[in-house]
Amino acid sequence: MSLLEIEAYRLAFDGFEGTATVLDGIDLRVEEGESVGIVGETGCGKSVLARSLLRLNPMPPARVLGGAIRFAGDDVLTMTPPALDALRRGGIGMVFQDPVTYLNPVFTIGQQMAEVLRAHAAGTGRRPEKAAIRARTVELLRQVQLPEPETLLARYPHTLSGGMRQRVLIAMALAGEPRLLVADEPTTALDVTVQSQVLALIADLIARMHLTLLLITHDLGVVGAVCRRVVVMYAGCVVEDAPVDRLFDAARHPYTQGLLAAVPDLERPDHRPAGIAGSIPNLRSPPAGCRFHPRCALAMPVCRERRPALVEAAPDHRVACYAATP
Amino acid sequence: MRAAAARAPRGRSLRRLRFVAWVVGRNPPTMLGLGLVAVFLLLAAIGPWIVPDARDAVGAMHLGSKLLPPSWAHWFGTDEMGDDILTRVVLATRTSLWVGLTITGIAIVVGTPLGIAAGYFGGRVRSVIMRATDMFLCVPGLVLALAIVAALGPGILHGVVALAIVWWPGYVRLIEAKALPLRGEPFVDAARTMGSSDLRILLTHILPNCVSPLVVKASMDMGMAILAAASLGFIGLGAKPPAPEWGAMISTARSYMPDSWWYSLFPGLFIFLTVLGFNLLGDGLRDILDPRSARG
Amino acid sequence: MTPLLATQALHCSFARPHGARVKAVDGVDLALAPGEALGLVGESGCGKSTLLRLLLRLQAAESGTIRFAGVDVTRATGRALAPLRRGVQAVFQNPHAALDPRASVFAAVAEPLRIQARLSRRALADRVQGLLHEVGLPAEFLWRYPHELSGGQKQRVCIARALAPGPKALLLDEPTSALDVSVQAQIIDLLAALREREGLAFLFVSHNLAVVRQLCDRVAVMNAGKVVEQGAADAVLAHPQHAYTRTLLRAVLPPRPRSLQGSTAPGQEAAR
Repeated sequence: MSLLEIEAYRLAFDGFEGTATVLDGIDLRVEEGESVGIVGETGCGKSVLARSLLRLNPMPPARVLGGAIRFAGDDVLTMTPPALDALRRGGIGMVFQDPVTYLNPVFTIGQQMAEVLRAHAAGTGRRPEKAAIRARTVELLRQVQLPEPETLLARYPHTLSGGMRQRVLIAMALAGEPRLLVADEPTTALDVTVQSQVLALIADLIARMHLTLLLITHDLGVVGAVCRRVVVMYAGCVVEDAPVDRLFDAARHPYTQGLLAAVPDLERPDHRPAGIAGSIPNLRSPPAGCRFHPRCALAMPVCRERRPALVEAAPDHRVACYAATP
Repeated sequence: MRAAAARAPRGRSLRRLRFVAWVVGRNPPTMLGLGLVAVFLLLAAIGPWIVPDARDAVGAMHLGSKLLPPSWAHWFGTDEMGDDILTRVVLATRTSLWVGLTITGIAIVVGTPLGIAAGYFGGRVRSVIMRATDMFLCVPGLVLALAIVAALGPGILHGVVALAIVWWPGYVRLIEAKALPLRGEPFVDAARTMGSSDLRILLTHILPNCVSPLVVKASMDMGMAILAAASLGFIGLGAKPPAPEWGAMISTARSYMPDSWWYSLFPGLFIFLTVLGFNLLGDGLRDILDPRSARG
Repeated sequence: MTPLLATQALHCSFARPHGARVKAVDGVDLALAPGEALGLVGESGCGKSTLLRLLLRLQAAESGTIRFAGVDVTRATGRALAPLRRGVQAVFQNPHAALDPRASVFAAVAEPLRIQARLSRRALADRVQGLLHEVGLPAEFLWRYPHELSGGQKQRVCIARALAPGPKALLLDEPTSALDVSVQAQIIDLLAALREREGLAFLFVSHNLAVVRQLCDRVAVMNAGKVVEQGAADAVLAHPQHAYTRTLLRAVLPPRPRSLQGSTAPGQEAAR
């Protein structure tokens, strides 16, 4: 059994101009101990998918059209509220993009960490002592390699740099000893030098704590730095799923290839990045067949009619494209 | 073909209308608010032609039918003069509408320019405007109304003037709070780099982006102003006796409680429903007026 | 040759609570030649955005001078400022915030023309349509509103608006950092083509060194309000001399996987 199994999951948002099928048949498995990156551009549904794991999408306007999400064998979509609480507290830890908005400006770091720890303890029926909470807070802050965690406890979020705030949020996500850490664009708001430090920290945590990681990002470079496997999403569908090295060296899907060709490379200044012509489809009336076909140079008649299934193109490498699979 | 570009296509406004209908349709409280306000406006417009006898609102007396309970002949009962309460309550909507519009109108006209100036220019301009505003906020409206009425004699106009004097500071504060962050927006910076004057920025960027909170507050304030005017009527500072006014009616009806319950119930109900209607409508307008919410 | 835009010993500082002052721009000498593309790189808080605001005269400099085409415009107002307003335009980082949510594409692009040029209604419409065409947007976008556009389309509108007064220089503040990579490449291509066609000079502020290398002839590296290194783009990015430039280059994630180097602990990033 995989730790996380998503099967044919479909989610729609209802709006004035109609219903947008934001996730259309997502199939994804994450094994215990794996680090998986989900890559895609604005509007591909990657963040909505991440929020679906904890049922954080407001319903309405969101509506599940079908499929299943199982975490450690339990169906997340039909979970009772107490079970969902337990999942949010301990099963899945989440780190979001913007570290500023997820910390409350009027409480100190110590108070906010203690609050999280108390909530976790309450979930298991224990009533921890103050000293124990403090000790655990310090331990967690040390784990994310924040210097002088004792003095940090009394500080307010605005006195920390962006990188330090993101570390605090990672520490909070780790407080419940989650089996799966979901990080949604954890370094997008950070400077490059800080980004590389935070990514190194995440890579280090995975190695030391045997965490399972699901990293959501738009940046292929970020995935390359910490993930073993990459899932590429386009317009609400998974288009390719491959080990990192394979994806970078032998991407099969035209969209993935386009994405790789669009990134400028500092070490190859003569490589001329090329954008992908056209723009993402309107999800209220997506193109029939493959959702990428209007922008695809390899589009064949069949691409306009039938949606390609995600099939194994090579060992451990799945692609949803007629042109890429014989 | 190119010259056609100088004008916006017409389909947009139709689409906008459909959007409004969609938002309202999904939101029962807004629908209720819109309905109540529509009924209120309709009654104000055609009241004199649909009431049983419009003369009941100008001091007619029917001593034979004093304080009758609701019946087929008098749906809302009659008052101590024998006048039909339905007639008086319906005809009082005009007074309320007039009072509400005047108070909010004066407040907007005075408050908006001051608020925009304070928020956009900041610094000393803001200090002066905001301190003056704070001073006016400290004046209790009803007490001022008492003073003015004492000086100028009773009459609804004097009450309205008093309320308008204390009403505008709310708009200064609202608009100032909205304009303050706007002046740092990149699109305002962009306008400056084009060489736009302050006045132009105020009119083309700051003011239009302040309109939606303004309309929302104005809608809610219509209700509040009508309530305040009714309070004036209740303490005897509003409309002069034979003229119908909800607050004044309830005030008179106090002496006939609890036997003639209908006398105070119906004017009270009209106040309640009108204020409720404007408030619900204001809440709904907030959703409709946000250009981003059209994305759905 | 007189530089198009030049600064000399430019200073600007901000007050911080508790009386401290932060020197955001601390003695910057920079020159942008006509038609040149100069990259300005550094991390957030290094002063590059403040420098841009000073050059655009959105903020007042404390000391030093700004010259536009040889004329001192550091404190110019009114008519004296008009050449700068015509000759230098800006494209901001976040296209979502750089467009007034209540103004249509037409209104946004027409705004600089309405301010700076007296055109007939018809000439205005023609010019706006021509500008949209230049940035690769079809005429059907004229009456759309910002919330109906994608990030890349919004940025194209911003570029069209910046081109409207017929500027000689564009100051670009991270114009692609809020965009997807597939769109980023399109915008970079557009900017390169425009530069070639119109002979524009660029001051390109970015933290993305790869993009800077692609688009710029020269690079200036800023740290803590000072320009620590400047020179030809190839030279600076291939053989950095200053320690800070080297740190910056080391942190760049290559598009292909590579194990991370260096420590995982927070380094020199300053706490606020």
